Amino acid sequence: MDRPGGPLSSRPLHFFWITDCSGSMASGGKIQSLNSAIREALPHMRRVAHENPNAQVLVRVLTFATNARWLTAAPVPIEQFTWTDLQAGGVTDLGRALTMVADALKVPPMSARALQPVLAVVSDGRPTDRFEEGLAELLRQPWGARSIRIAIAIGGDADHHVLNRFIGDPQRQPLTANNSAELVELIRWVSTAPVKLASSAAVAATAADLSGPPYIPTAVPATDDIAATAW
Amino acid sequence: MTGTKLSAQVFGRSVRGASHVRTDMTNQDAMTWSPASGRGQALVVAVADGHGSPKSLRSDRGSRMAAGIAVAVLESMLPALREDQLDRAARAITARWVHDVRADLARKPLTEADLSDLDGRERRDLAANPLLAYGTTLLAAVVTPTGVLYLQLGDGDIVFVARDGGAWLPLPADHRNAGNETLSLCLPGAERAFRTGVAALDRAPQMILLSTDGFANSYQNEDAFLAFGTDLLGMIRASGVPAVEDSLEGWLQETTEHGSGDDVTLAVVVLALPAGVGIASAPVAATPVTARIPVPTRPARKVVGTAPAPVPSYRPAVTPDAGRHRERARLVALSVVLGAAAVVSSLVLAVTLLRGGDEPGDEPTTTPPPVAAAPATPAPLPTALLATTQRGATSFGLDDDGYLWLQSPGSTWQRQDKYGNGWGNFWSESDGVHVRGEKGELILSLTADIAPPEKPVPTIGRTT
Repeated sequence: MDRPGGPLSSRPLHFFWITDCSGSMASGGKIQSLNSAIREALPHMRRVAHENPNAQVLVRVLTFATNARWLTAAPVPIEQFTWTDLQAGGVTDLGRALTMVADALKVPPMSARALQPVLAVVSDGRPTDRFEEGLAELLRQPWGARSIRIAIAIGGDADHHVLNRFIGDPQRQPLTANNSAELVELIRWVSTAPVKLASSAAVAATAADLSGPPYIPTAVPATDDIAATAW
Repeated sequence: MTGTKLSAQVFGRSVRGASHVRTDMTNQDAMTWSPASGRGQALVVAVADGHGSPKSLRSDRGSRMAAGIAVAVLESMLPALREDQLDRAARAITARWVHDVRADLARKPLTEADLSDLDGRERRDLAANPLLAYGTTLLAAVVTPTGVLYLQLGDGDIVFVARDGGAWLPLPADHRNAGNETLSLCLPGAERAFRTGVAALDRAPQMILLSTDGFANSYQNEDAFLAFGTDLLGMIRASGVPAVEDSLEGWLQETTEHGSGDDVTLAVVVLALPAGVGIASAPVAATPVTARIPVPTRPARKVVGTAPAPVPSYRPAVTPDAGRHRERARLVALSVVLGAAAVVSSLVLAVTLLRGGDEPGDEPTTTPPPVAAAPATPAPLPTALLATTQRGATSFGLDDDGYLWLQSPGSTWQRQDKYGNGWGNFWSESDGVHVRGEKGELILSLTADIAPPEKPVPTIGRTT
């Protein structure tokens, strides 16, 4: 007898790069470093995705500067995902970006059977729009509230308070990259550890006192061969 | 089969998840039923899914305890188990599970070796609530001679299949269970988070499926999942239960390997429906009804092995409380009472409305809610409950099963019952809806525009 029921499928794991392309990212080679760091991290992300055949990792890129826009509006399977170099210019409309992510996390188009989405914000500045409204919109969505939220602060001018609000867990701070070598390390970690965590499908109980996002280490060891200019 | 009474038989299998095999984790699901023969006019079946997170390190025991306790408690309330007793059953199951888990912890405390893989936060969580080590969901169904009752805490699925193969979810999706999060017996107030339902004789399904979430999560979408019920009923009719039962383990193995990777447990309850009893088709516009989805033809698979060696089920000791249930059971006539008009007429809906941050300005409405008009056709047509977009003072109606349906902006339809079960515990005030449910009273605070139904809202388990 054939198996009853419709087609089977691994569970989708949506990964969102939410990247700052404001004018300040042009200084000190930050945007070039980000481009090369993410490109370098892709094979690692594919490897982690491959380790769990029961999760289908799907990647999207949303950039924010003056307004925000999808570079890849539709989710792209990690096996087919390629990185398109970002260009810097404009202000820092992070609030708008979070609103757009909130829309993407509604059910539908999101599946109720998905794994926890991973939202990774990379920013070097301070939002110039209504960040709180965008964040509230994001957290209103069940998948937004349940997402694994990571933030990388590039350089000393990034608004840590805002990134902390985005992360929403006092026990986890934004990861700070002070030079391109550190950024490479952090991007590689962000590309792999949360994916591994979300795809493990380890169920945690929910309650007001238990519903915090999964624990992710804050300290990432920097490499010894840092040669880049500090940001 | 005699007269118009129901009888049923149950079978099922549980397989270890493909990802659990890779990471050397045990099967944390559990399943048990009574009577052990799996046949009878009164049948109780329970399925539980122990949490897989590192701090739920004894969840395999927790799930076995949950399933065993649920069957024992529900069985003790037979044969006169009624809908209005399900809340009491939920309280009794939760209390007994907490009691037995604490006793187990006292006998075998968590050691440093047990905790060696946990980080600081996980250790703190466990210290604050040691029940987490045993955390589990629970689904149960009871077939009595006069109807079907069911309850659920946390994720997993109860599926009903009608005579014609139409499959549906009698309990609507609960957004409190999503991603890697679920409600659980280990959480404070778990007894209030159960969702329950009943189907009297005329609404009884031909088949009931109870499954842990690893099963539904393995399908491309809900239609593909519900098609399993449709297909399975056809196979049982064509080939009989024994042939299907022999194939079940292989199917579940394939399902976890090509799907979620999680443990997969499925209990199948097949009801013998006398003529004139039972629901012919899935309720109109109920939570998605499956359409037949063609299954690609594959070569026949060899089913590895025979039925698995049964895991000893957890048998809680009989309590004085159970004895009281039996005593009461003898005194109460057999009946399954649905909510319907009696519920509506006895319910006082108090609506307190907040606008923005204002203090409540209106007295609670004490006028009984309007009873929905009877459908124009004999089909169980649903009833729209809210006439206009609501914000500020207004009155609300309940459907004829005693549920209130609401939709906050950007969200799916959710229902709230008179006991406070529903989405009230999940949605926050930022959604514009705050619900506090108590028996006989529902308190709503609305701070955003609440949309009316764009199409009729389905009712589930109607009697008329």
